[in-house]
Amino acid sequence: MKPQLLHIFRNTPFGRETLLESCYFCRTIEVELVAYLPKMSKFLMYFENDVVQVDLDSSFLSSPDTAKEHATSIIRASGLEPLFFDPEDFTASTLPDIPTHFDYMCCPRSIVDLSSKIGLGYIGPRVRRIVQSARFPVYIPNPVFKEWKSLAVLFGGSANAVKALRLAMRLSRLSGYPLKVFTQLEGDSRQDYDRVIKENGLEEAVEDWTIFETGRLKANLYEVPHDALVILGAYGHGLIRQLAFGSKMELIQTVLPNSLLIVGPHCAL
Amino acid sequence: MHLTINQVATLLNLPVSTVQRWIRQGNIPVYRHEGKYLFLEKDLVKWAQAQGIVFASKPQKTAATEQVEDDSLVSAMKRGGIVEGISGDDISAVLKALVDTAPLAPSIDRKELFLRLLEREDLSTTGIGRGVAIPHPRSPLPNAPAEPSITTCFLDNHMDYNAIDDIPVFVLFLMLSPAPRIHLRLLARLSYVLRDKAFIDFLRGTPPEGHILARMAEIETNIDNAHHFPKLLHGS
Amino acid sequence: MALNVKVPSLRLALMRLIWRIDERLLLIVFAAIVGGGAGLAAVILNRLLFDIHEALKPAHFHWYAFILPACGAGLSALFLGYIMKEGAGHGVPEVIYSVCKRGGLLRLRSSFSRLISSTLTIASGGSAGPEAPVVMSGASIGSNIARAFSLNDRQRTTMVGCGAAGAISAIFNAPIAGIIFSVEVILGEWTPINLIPIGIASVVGTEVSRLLQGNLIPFSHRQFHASLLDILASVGIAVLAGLSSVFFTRLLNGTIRKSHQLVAPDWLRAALGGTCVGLLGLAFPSVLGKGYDVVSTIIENHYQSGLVLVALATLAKIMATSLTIGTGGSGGIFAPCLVIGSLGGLAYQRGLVACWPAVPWAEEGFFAMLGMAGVMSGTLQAPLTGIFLIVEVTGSYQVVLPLILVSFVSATLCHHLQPVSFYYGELVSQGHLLRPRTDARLLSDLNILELIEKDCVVIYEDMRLRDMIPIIEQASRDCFPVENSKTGDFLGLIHLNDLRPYLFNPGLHDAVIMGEMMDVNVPRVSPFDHMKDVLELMDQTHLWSLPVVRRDKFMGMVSKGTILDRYRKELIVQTH
Repeated sequence: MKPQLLHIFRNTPFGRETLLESCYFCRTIEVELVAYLPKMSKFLMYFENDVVQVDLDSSFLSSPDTAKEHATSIIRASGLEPLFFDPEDFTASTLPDIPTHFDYMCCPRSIVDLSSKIGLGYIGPRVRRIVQSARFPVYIPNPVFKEWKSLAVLFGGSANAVKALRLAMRLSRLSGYPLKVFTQLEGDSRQDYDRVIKENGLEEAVEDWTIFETGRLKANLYEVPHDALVILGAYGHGLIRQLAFGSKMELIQTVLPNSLLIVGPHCAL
Repeated sequence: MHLTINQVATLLNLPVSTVQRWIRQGNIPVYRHEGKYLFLEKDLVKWAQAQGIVFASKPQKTAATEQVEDDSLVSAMKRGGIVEGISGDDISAVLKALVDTAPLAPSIDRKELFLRLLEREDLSTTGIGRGVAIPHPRSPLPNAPAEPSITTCFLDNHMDYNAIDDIPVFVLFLMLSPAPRIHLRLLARLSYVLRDKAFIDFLRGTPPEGHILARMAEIETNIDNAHHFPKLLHGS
Repeated sequence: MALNVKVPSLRLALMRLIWRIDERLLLIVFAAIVGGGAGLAAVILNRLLFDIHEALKPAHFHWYAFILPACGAGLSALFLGYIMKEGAGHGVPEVIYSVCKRGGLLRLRSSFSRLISSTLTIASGGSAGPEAPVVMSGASIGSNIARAFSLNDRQRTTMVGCGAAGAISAIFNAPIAGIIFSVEVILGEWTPINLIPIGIASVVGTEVSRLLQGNLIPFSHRQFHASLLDILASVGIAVLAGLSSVFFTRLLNGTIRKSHQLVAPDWLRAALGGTCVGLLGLAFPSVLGKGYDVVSTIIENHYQSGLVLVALATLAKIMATSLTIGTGGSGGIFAPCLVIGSLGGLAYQRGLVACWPAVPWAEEGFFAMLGMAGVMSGTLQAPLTGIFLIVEVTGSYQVVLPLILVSFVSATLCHHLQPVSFYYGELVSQGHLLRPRTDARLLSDLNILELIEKDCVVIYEDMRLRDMIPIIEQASRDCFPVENSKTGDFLGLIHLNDLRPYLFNPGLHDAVIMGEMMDVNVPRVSPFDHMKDVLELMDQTHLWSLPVVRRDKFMGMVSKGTILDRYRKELIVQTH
């Protein structure tokens, strides 16, 4: 069975951009797009060890009568087959359950947001919880549709970063787009990273590897191409780190407008 | 000994997703180490025993996976050898003579073999026509060697074998196999070979061993190239 | 930094020690913590109810007193809907749903949201009880402690049970009733591995309650003496209680239904319900609030009204509770059941005295207790919980015989007339009541993707019968899916039985193609179908294996044999 991406459709011009992003993503890496047209403002996702309640803001429920039509035409125009998901199980009468067996999920930078927060610098707490519990990578698209033409991995050397790099290799093969890897050395030496790469047999992935030995990450991120899909691993271990969600994560998505694909600690890849 | 989730799935003969689900539901003993699941073989064996679930430490060898090194006709015939100059008044005498003189493995009980050959003939004649008979025991002998053998035996006198086409028999192929399936496979090949009238005529000339084997090998290659036979295990 | 799979054996041995050999000990420790937490929640709720009730007392003397329940219910709905963003709902069904289908996962906000909302509803006069909110809080506390320590589904479910047990034990000072309720209603299974942690949680919860509130039983202890005639009369009260329970459940469900049909925001519906309750309260003050004082009065034989008024009061309480809970107020049905039962029992006793004045019937309190047991057992359809709760809250063990009689008769009668109790109603209708080791549960755990068999040889519609011969020789299955060679779409299925009559007819070998022989109407199964439906389909069509097709592409076969094998394995591991 082909992998599937879950997309929660917002029937507004902003939502259209996000859907176009998802469609491009799906088409490029050969994944099916399953759209959920919300009829209720809340839903629950039950993961292995957590239940996340997502409260959608009212813009997600706007114009329900035209939602399906709009979504279908956008998806079709992108060359994909429109598939829709209707919840079957309900925890309470106004609380549908969304299954979590998907292979990717598209979350806007904040699911509960006012238009102002669609801007950079705010990955909502719900999205963070989803990243931490999900077995699938979370796709956080650019607010405005833009076709990405390369893949950029921000490699930090942790177990999640290795997973992210593996995923990036696979996507690079599927899409045919080149893969660039970026690492910011902070205290660790080049040899440490080399060792990690060697231990995991990922030499092929780091053919194009830019290592920032000096300078601050914030400035170095300028090297990441503007039309790249950025893939990174979220820190997973340690309660403290979980609380902080890794300050690097916040920094990156504050500075880079690119679409992000975040690999959480429970991703099965 | 530590096992990974994939190994456990194979040993339980279940898909990985089922084992993952059991881990999540708490139905199977497991440890988490740095985000990966590890199983201790000792714990699993105890768990399986308590539940009555089949859990093999090594994947079971089923009959289907048993491999015979080489079960081509030519190799079987090489192992069995060629015998000439057998004669007798009736089937029983001929078979006795054959059993006594054939180059069999030392583990085979010749008396037992003779009795079983007769038993088989009683059920139904092994004279399959065109002057050929294929005596064999109905079920494999207790100490049969792991590899099959076919002993080719040319009779001095053509004899009435009660063959299905009533043609007197001039050659016997004594077939010994470790399992019925192997016997059937060899028989299928042999009967294909024997369908060729030219080959029968060739045999009537009592050719030397080398010629027979060469001719056989040629025909066998043709068989393998056609699709009609279960492929040799070692080839597939 | 890198993934280190080399596990030092000392560390592993330590892990094993902590997590395996002491799993039971670990659960006991967690159970104590959960029980304590649930107990604390119960104490907090009791305290809040008491304090706010006291604060609102002066208001009862004013004309606007009847608006209080409306305000309370409205605020409660607003709080739940907009501040906590929690879906409305009774709470206990949500806990049972989570235990049955979601491995006991509950949202963290539920551990305190219901405490606040039910305080608003009940303290203002709404006719509901504090038990269901506390059960929900306790269950959520248990679930989230389990989450914090990454326990698996089974352990987490046990923790939820511990939370529920601790809650009931604390709020009634009735540890046994807490255990029984948790096992009978929430978890639905009695297994040794559950009972010990639940027992511990119950004890700790009760202790916390006693430490903070004192060791009081809610209702006074009295000696009741029952003669044989009274025991015979118990049958009557059992029937009456049963019928009342059925009426109560139906009215409750009906009110919920009607209320949802009303197109209005949640808080308005709740406020309307509250207004009706307030108005009822003007006529019958005993229907307001959780009503323990009414029960106490009756048990002490101090309730003054005559038969008719008492009967009307019973009816009024039923209506008030339905209005409160049915329109979106937050609260439980335990306490209302006790009030309804005691009022009904009192009415019954008055009736007996009126009909046969010469007979020395037992006191009012006696029949009140039986009434309580009957209505509780009937409404919850949990007779054991009813028995133990009444015994523990009144301290009257000597009436246990008629108590048992009434509980079981009432529960059976109710079950006969109303097969599904209030708690289970919605769950059963959606097929979500999945108790462990039941057929429904096992089938819902199995899914097609885990059972699919992919060893079929695929053939194409343009193949001739002759081409099938080598395939049949080699194939291990007796059915062959037919695909369109250009698009790969699944077209139909060919079974060996269909080919058998013609295989040995050489004349047909080149004359027949598979496209002509296949069954195009073979029922297909989708990979996301429920196993229950698949088995039903197999039974209807008398087929032992079916093709799994997704978006016209053949994925594999699913067969009854494999289903049986896996079903049995599931049953075995779940029975552990």
